[in-house]
Amino acid sequence: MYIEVNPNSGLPIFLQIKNQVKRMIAAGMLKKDEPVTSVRQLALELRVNPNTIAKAYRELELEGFLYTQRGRGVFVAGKSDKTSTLSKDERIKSISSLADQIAVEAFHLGLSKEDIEKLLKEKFKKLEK
Amino acid sequence: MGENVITIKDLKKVYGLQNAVNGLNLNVPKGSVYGFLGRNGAGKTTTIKILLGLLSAKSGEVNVLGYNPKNEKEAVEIRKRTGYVSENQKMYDNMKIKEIISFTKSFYKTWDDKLAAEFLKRFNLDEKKKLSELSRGMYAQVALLLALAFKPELLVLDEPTGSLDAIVRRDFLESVVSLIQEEGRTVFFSSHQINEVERVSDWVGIIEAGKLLVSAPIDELKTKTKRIRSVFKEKAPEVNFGGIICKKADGRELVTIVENFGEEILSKIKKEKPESLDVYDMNLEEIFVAYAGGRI
Repeated sequence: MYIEVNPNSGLPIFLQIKNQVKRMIAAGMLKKDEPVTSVRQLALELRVNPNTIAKAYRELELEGFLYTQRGRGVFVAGKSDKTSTLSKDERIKSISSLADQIAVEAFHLGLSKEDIEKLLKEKFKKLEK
Repeated sequence: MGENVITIKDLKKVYGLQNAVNGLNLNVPKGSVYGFLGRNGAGKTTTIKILLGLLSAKSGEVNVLGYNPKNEKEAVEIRKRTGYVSENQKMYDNMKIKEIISFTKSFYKTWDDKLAAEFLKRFNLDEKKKLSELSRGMYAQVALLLALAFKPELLVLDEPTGSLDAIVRRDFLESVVSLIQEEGRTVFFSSHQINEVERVSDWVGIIEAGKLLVSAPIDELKTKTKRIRSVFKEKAPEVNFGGIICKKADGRELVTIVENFGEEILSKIKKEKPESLDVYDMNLEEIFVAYAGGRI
């Protein structure tokens, strides 16, 4: 499991880790019931405070992306429907700043709404595979 | 984490006419890795030396692990329980590594031979070598080994990686991280290597001119400190409200850096009716520069 931590980012490190694990799950790089690197190990590899990793894992677990088996480790829960504990509004809100960025970039690059729609459709297709 | 391992109240220290520490207040929660950030001369080393009873303060209250370092006997108790590594640590250079290990061991009941052997192996240190023959990096590694092998409750690192190259620094930080894994251990860590502080710490405090400007869990600091850029139709207005760390108005543009970002702060800027308003995340270095340097 390769995770990159960038201290130059404005994003707290636990969020950087969280986002990357989510991404890996979405892209199928981490499969259901596969173990993720232990907190201890990942802390050493990244030279990051173990509490930070534990926080990322804890939130991922709460949001239904990971599950813990006592004494065995932490595993991927697969695409979980627990994400729907957040209301749709909340989920849309959490993705809205990314959409913002896309819209701004597209505007400056002279791309149309249709171009972006097409691009997003392709990306979705990749994930559904 | 209700308990504090270090508490400092209104600490003052004067060198000649200069206030090295000027009313410092600081709490270090038990089990935290506390990154103590400040520019050169901000008062970091002075504070650390006072904590360990190596310097005496002019006034103020200090408590470390339940002891008062002002009292010579209690200061000894603090040093028995605290591992300390500083940037330009001096050891007995005529000793071989093996000798300094057995020498240091004799002072501590809690010394762990297995742990010491592990560090020797990990750092690739030849115990037959004299300290005077070591590179700076190896020298620092020996200092760290000596500070860790007796399993201290508190580890105090004063610019520990200042003289280390990138690879040794990596090993050093890895050792610190593995140390943190053991529960209840507290690390107080001064540095101006902001990147490494960010990786390893969960709390940060920023000291400037002998005063603590901010102290918070690192994630909270990063989530709540924001840069707000607003552009106005005509000249940018003067704003002044609580929570501004620094600001800069330039023509139609106003940039403010705020703490405790939220709707309340936003509404204060919106009241001025900007044409556009953007909010940006900040990394720790930018936050540091805003607090300690007052720069946007």
